[in-house]
Amino acid sequence: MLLECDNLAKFYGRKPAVRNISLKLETGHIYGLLGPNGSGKTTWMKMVSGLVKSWKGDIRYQGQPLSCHDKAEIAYMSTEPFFYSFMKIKDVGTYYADFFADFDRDRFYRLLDRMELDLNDKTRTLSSGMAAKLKLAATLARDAKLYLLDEPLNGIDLVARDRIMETIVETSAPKNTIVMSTHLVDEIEGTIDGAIFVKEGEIVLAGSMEEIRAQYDEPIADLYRKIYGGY
Amino acid sequence: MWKLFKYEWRKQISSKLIIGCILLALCAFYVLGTVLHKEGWAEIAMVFLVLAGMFAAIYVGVESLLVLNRDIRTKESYMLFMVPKSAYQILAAKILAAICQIFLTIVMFGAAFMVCFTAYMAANESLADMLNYLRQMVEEMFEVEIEWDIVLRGILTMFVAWINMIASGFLAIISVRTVLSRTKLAGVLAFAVYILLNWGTSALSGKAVELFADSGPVVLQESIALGVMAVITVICLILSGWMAEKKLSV
Repeated sequence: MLLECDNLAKFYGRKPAVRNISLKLETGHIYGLLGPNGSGKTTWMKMVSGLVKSWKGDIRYQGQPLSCHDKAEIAYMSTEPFFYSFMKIKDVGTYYADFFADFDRDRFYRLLDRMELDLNDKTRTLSSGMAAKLKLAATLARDAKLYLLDEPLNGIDLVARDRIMETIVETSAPKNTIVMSTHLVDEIEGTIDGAIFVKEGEIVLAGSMEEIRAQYDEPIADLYRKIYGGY
Repeated sequence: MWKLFKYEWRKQISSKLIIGCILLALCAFYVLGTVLHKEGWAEIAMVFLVLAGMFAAIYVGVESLLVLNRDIRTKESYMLFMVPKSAYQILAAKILAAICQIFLTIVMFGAAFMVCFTAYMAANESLADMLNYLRQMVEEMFEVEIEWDIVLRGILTMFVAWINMIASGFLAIISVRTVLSRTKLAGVLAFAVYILLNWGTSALSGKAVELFADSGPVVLQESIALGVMAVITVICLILSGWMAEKKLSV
């Protein structure tokens, strides 16, 4: 088992962001973490990547309690751009190479080329779409065991979305696990092999795509509408 | 940790370049005044050099705190806290960068004073004259008499106080951002906690000195005050590291 969460809960003041989340992620899968804004997807991802602290429950990575050293194998990509404003795109590559032993600079350059990004552009001058592509290139250039991609398709145009989904599928391997949070269910339905539906900080449905399809006999997008839209 | 240090250093290097440019301009003004025997120009340049030195020392410290605050408050925090390093290592890199920044600033000012000194020596007479000139100038500016051993002790005290300023600032920012990360008033509260911590440090140092007020020389009392400040600094750093490691969410 790559990751196990047991009764996870995180409160901001009295407001619960995540509550009673228990789940297990296995290696070699692409999971969709589904739910509307504010459902707790980002908080859960940040908890697993060590950015959110002071929670209740238990997170075990490869059987051991989560520690800061696990960040060497967990690649988190946030929804928002997060690169230092003084950096150029090539500096982002240097930064990742400095801190992550699994970072492949050649792959980073290839991904930049595919995303049509220029190494010498400054990160602060990038449009939101370009910044989203850069985040993804830097994250997927790592040979991580667990990728946590928070809304990877946000701010990306339709053509680039296909390219990004191709890259994510290419990155997927039997030795790693990818978790993508999104509310663009249609875009990822053909890619994921497991789905976790989160509502108001709790898991309301989780399982492999085969199980879910067998149980509900309808597309994930329709199930999503039913769970969150009530119709 | 050296890699963390490299990026912490880079975050603050722009302000050092600006300080360097200001120093260059002031040095040029001083040298010009000395060579052309325009004493007024040289004196103005020297006064501004001294004032710039005081301002720079404070600014370099404050900038370290502003950078930490930004590193926690904005999305750039992910860049820092997603790396496989502990919060202790991150804070150690920040403190080291802050110390190196102040040393760089001191070196830059030292170099500027050396340039001025060389210009003065070339245009005038001897080292003794130069030292007298410096002494007179400082005595006139601050209306105090200078003894060099006291100056050295003062420099050490200032250095420890400066590190203490950074450490208490780190603790203030991290504690407020940990407990009240989503409050808009977090910046104001951090400043209030910072003032409180500094008041506490002064009070504790004062109390420690009072204990030995009748039983030892002034040097001993000053050393005790310095020691208390150093201990408080270490406590602030350890507490900051612990809170960032265990409690701080970004």
